[in-house]
Amino acid sequence: MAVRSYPRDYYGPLDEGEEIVDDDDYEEDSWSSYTDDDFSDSFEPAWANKVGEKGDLFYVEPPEGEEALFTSHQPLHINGHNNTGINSHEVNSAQTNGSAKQKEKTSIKKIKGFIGLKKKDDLNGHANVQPNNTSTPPRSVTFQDSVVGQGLWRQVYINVEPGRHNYGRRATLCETVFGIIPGSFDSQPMRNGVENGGPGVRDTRIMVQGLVPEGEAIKCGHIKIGDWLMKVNDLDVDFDSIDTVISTIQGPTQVKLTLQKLAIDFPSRPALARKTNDATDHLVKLVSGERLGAYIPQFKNVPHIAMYLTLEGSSDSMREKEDIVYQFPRQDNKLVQVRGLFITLCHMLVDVTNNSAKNSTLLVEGQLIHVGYSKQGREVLIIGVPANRVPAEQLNHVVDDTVRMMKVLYGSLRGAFVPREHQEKLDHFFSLLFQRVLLNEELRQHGMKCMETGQDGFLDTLPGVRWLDLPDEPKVNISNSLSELEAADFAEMSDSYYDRRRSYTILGSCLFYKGYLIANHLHKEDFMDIALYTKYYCLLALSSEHQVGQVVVWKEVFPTRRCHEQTDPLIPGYTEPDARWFLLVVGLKHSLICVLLEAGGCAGWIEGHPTPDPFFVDQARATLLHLETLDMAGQCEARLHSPSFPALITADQQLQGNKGASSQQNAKAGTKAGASPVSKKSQGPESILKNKKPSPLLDRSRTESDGDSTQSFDTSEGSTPVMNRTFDRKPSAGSEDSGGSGGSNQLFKNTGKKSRTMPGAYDMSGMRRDLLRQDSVKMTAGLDNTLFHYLHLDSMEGVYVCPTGAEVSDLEGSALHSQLVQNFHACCLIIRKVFEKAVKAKERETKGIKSRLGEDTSLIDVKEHGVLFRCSPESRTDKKKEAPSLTYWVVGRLFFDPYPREVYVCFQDSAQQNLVELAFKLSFGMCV
Amino acid sequence: MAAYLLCLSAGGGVPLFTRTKGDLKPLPFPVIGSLNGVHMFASTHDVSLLSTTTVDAKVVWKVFHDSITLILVSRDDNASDSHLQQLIEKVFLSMVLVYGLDDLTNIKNIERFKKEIKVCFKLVDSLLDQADLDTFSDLTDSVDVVLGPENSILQEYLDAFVEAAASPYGCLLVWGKVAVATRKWWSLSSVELVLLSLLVNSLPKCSARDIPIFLPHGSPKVPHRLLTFQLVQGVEVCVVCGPTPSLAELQREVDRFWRTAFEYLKSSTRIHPRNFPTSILTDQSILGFILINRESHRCLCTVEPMEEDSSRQGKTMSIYRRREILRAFYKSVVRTIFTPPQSDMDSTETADTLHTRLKHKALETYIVSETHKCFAMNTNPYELYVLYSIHIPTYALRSTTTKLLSSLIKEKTMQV
Repeated sequence: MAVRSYPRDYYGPLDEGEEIVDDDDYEEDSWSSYTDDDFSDSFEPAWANKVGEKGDLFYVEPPEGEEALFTSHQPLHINGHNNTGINSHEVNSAQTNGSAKQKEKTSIKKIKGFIGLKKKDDLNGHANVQPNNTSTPPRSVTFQDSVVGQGLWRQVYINVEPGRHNYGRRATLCETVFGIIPGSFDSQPMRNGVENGGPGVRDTRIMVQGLVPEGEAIKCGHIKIGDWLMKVNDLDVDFDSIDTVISTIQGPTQVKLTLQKLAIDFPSRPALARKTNDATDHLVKLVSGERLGAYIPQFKNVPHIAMYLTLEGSSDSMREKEDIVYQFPRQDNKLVQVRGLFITLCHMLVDVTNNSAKNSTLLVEGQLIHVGYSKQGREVLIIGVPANRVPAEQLNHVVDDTVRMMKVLYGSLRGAFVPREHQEKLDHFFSLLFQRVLLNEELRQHGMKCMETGQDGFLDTLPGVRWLDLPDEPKVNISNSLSELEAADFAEMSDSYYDRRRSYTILGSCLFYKGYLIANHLHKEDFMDIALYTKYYCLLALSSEHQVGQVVVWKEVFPTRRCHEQTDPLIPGYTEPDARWFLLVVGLKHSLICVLLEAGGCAGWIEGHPTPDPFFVDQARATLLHLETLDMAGQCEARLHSPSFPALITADQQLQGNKGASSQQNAKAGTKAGASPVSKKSQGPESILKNKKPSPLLDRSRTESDGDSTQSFDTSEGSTPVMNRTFDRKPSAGSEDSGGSGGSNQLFKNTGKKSRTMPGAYDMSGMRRDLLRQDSVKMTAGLDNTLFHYLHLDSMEGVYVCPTGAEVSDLEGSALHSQLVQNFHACCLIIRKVFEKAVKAKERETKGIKSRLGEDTSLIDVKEHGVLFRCSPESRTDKKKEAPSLTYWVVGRLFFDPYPREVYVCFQDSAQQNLVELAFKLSFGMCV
Repeated sequence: MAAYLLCLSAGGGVPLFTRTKGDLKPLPFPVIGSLNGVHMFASTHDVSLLSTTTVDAKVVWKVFHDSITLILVSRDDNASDSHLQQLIEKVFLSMVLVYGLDDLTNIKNIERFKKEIKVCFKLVDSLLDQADLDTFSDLTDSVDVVLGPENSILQEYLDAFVEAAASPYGCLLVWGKVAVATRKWWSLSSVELVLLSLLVNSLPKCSARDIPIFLPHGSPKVPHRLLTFQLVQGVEVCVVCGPTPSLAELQREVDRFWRTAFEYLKSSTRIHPRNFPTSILTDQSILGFILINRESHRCLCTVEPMEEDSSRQGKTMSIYRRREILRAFYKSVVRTIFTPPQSDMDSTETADTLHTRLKHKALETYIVSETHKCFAMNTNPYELYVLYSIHIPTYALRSTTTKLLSSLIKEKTMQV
């Protein structure tokens, strides 16, 4: 009977005294078999060597497709895929036990944790983990040179005592004696040392595939996973000879092992880099902070700066730049030279106005620069950007967000900027920040559309993320999957199974797909912290544009709600537990799951800097994979590509409709005898009407609109539409059909008929499909659709909704419409500024804050702001005729009740309805 | 609006004068020093500091002719920086108007300058008054006018009188607003027009005065004389002329020329504070408006479009509040949503203005708040900003505004 020590739980060290006697239960197979299912990067997670000193991790992996490129260049590699790699553990096991498969399955997960622990320990033991910035292609292991004596090999002495450990009869000698789990470099699995099919020379070299906990190897701390075990006591070893060599070792003694280290740099690397230097790879590097070096040249001529200045130290030290705690980019420019100005201003203005400075405008070498400040005690954070790229309003948001981000990531601004070791991380943060706000060409070329749409900086400033409203069923399913993860009920993996306090509680999670929020189970403030993180680290932008192979982020965070804003609890007597929080972000393809973990509270307290917990990483990943089986991506894509809801219309269509309509118009006037006379602008865009599917839902919305729609009929050109509403409320003969009116009469009739018969038909599937598709519900009343664009910001939930439909991408193509959307955003920025002031003024009023210079109460209660624009296509050269022009409104509304929301709509001037009604309709349809 | 205005010599940073508006403690000297110091420090590095915003305040700096630094600390107006920059520019031009550009650019004796510059305080203070003023000309860069039915008759009187004064520049002010003026007077730049009426308004009331002025754009270095005579209470006639005639000479002429116009003058004063004839009907809900003609640099403003019933008094918005809101609304719209008029002040457009980011031309805009509604309309050359009471339905704003505009500009005899 084999006796094998077995970890009592997957974190604690093995207690020598309590060996679990385990007959045949323990299967070596499980070591490898857990790679079999979804965990292709199983044994050594690709991110393992990227873990920083404090246990934090920011790992972005390029998509799978490109990896083939990588690996094919490698002379030696371990390919972590199913059929390869890790099974070599069985090499020396005499018998292959085919039984107990069930148990094996159940133990898979335990082992996962177990192995994870080993790696963790291993990494903790080594200070010389690979530097973060060297980029090892994931899953590819190679050596500088396979010849000993090239300097990369080293000798390690370990004390061994054969017979001290007994790990079971299938454990290799190497395991029992050294605590090293041997593996092969060969891509072919080794079976009992016999070449297992496949041509080519068999590679019998031994790789350190794992380290046994409490084993000698791990204790000595100098043996790393992936090392090549070359010699034992100066005897060359390979799979064929290792057992013989080890068996000669007698009694407690010191053994000399010769190992060759993992290569740090690959000779083939430059070539590789060039080959894979396409958009994705580029972007991945950008986001993962590997291209910091390339950052400088591209912004050479754009004056910008982020600095953290301190008043500490005497003024004499100015020359030595002691006042600069942190600076990015490192190059000095004018803004650095005049830094004294910023810090003086910040501190002095308090004497003048009772408040510290927020931003300044400077003229530097003919260029207008905005500088934003955030003062913390005697220190100031400064961000300067050119005014033509970032308006002051946006800069204020950027500064506020940065401060919040720093507080969340490091606890305080001081804590972020003062320690030297954070510099690299901060460089990473600020390089991404500047790339984002300065909108460099490079990013646009590489198609970061997400950023591009924010080019007016408006969407960027919104306190929220884009939300994708899925139909109920998938929404519930997705939500359930997240709940399952959050419940942390992992059967045998659960902590109760090991009779031990769990190390983390999952506070909540949220899910993104292509940069859209799909589900959120977090408190709003926590969510905002995480949303900011994903936004500022460009994770949303990245996942929205490219399939990523894998993203793993692990970071201790200091959530705003828990650490920085000590508000009175809603429930008296309740306080948030004294705990530590960790953010885990796992991404796969286009999806991103963010989990907030709590250590402390009802979970165990954690000391030191825990590294990413592979177990939770795997669980999050499993959730993503599970969601994939639910076809979440499909659902989202369908939603993204379905006609937008509510239906939109492009400006170009509208103009063409105006121009080309007249001839058609006359012909139609006769046929449409039943309906009221149609105004010129009634020509509808066909594309939208074609999409119109009858559905009960639609039908209802149509009848709702019928009452209003009649008013559109007797509008004369040039009259004021808003007024018409009051005059023209009378029933019309054609009212029944008017909601779905159309470009062609036939279509028009069809729509009407179907919509009546449809609810009667018992075709539930059809109905369901229609409900799911939700297509083209027209929001505006009247004959035509007049809605161009909309935006609904729910600051309570921290989300905003704007058109997502397939049309939107089509619309981008049309010059006029994209101009219109840009203008919409620019205008929203203006309107929103007024709203923000109104909200702030209200706050100040209720708090009774008095300004020294008097209160500006004149625009305090603003709740609606609208602007009318006129545009005409620029391409027209025909000056004889008056260019057709389009007038449209951009209207913003601010709701205070029941919670703050903002709605912005852009619709044509001829919209035959009350502005208010439109805004309301839109916002009432939304609920998270 | 509370504000500090600091004036220092650009070279040495010596404080020349400070003006404060509102109930504020004077700034201590070190604070003034450092406010100026940051700006000077920047300019030694070829960087010019233009403005700084705090949560509720805004500071703008500007150096004029390398001789004078003006620093304005004011409440944050939530609007484009350019409004405050224009204000500070106007402060400087008003100093030029009263003191002359030569003496401002070459300050030889600082102590003497400090004493002499006091002559411009009244005018500068009225620029800082903002909503306390019952005119809007300082804001709109166009001079306030009154549309009286008697204007065409008064025009003849004025033309005749000006001829006697041997000067083509003459105007008639009714409660500080221009009723009529000679053709040559209208050819003055908009800032000169604005500052001249403000100057006459800001000075203490008297029956006649003779003050030297420098026209900031016309002749900043050669002084002219501004002669004013009070005709009836609230009505003053102004003439800008050379060394002759003397005040006494013209004083004698006043009686001769204006005696017969007494009734017309009397009735023209009655148009205040409505500022436009009662024949033009306006909607009940209109609380005030600003109508600007950007071509002629005139604006017609009122915050009392109709006689308030004594019963309704107190229930409606106070006059001061109306002015304040209209000003704030104007500021929030101009150079943010509406493209600004071409200013003839020598301000290089240095402020970051949001309207440049707009791709299309904005024609109209409105704001709905819990206490009032505002609507603005931009139809070249007219701009109309209307303040409505809360009772008007939002959908009626546009039509009411259109109606108001057309009724105000259709009168051929009285042109804004």
